[in-house]
Amino acid sequence: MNKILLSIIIYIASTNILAIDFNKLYKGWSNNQQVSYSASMGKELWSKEILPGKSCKSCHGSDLTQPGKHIRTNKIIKPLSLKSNPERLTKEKKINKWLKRNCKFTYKRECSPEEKISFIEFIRFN
Amino acid sequence: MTKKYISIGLFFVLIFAAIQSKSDYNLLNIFNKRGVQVIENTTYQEECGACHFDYQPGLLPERSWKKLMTNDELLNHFGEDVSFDDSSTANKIIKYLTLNAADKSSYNRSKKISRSLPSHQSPLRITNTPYIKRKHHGISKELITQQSVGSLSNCTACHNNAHKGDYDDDSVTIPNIKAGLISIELNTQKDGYVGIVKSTNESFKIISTKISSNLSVKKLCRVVSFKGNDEFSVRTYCKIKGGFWH
Ligand code: HEC
Repeated sequence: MNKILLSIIIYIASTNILAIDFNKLYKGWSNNQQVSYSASMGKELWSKEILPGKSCKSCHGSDLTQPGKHIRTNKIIKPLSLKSNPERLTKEKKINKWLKRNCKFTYKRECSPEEKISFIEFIRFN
Repeated sequence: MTKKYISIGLFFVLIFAAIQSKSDYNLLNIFNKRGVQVIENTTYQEECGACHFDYQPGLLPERSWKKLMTNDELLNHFGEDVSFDDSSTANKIIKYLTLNAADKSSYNRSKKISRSLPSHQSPLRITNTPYIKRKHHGISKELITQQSVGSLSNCTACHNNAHKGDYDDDSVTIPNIKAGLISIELNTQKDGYVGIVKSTNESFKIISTKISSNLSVKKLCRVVSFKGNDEFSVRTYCKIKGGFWH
């Protein structure tokens, strides 16, 4: 009986480790401050060219279920949508790395917590 | 007596097996390692290959990779900040690149690249090594800058087996090569013009010219017939103003 209980606990714990706790991730980004964000805000920002000729759409396209193409090298980028690529948004380190790099590429600066959270919300639900 | 023969036989079988397992494809290739060594490093593939073709380490000498991987260079990697957050990943990649660099390689094409380069030069671009430059000399600018290629950095656009380290001429297909070869004639000659396609020796004739326009994009089109040894074909090439024949 104890063994069964223990294995259930271990199972739940391990699945929780694997899945990203997005609320926690967002709180980390915003330093626990209240920020306003939404998937629709993310969608709007996605194709907005703050610098001419550069947006998230440039490399990832506007239909996230489809593969993208790197604007400078033509390299095919696997889809960002979880619907067609379940490996997306499963590693915090990877998300942070690419948001930092891609924001610098697209806007020549890092993204604000509002922007980051809105982007991830947009990707999660599209 | 038979025991002796068996052991001698066994000895040769073992040697043969050892040589086979070390070679790339078969016995012949021990003495002639064609191309460049294929990539065997997932860190490099994931980190660098996410954005661009994962160029084999054997395409540049060690001194070039070292320079390319300095912090200053990574902060401005052909115009982009691609610096690493953790140095352990960067170090893994540097180690892989330098250990397998062109001047460390026993592969033929790597050796050629390395030998073509004066020892005081450490180019950051593979396309700036004398060997690669020479090999691509004479490919027209139009063929290189066309949309599906872009620049010489895009190996896979024409080298179908680039990811296998095979850059043989046999496995090259340059998109629109025929259009590229006759583009001057398409630009300047009248209908009825008969010419020869350089390098394939087919004869071609410009049959007619028309303007096609859809969705406000105007294109100039020319119908061309080709006659080879035992082949006859007709193709239409179109281009927008200032563009490239497709
Ligand atoms: C210059 C091309 C380029 C642009 C522009 C770009 N990205 Fe990316 N992005 C990439 C590449 C390459 C990857 C890594 C692809 C892979 O892992 O297959 C990536 C990965 C990501 C990931 C990681 C997903 C995961 O967990 O696997 C996120 C999130 C992301 N991009 C968001 C954005 C956002 C938001 C923007 C706009 C601010 C943007 N990208 C603009 C090229 C780009």
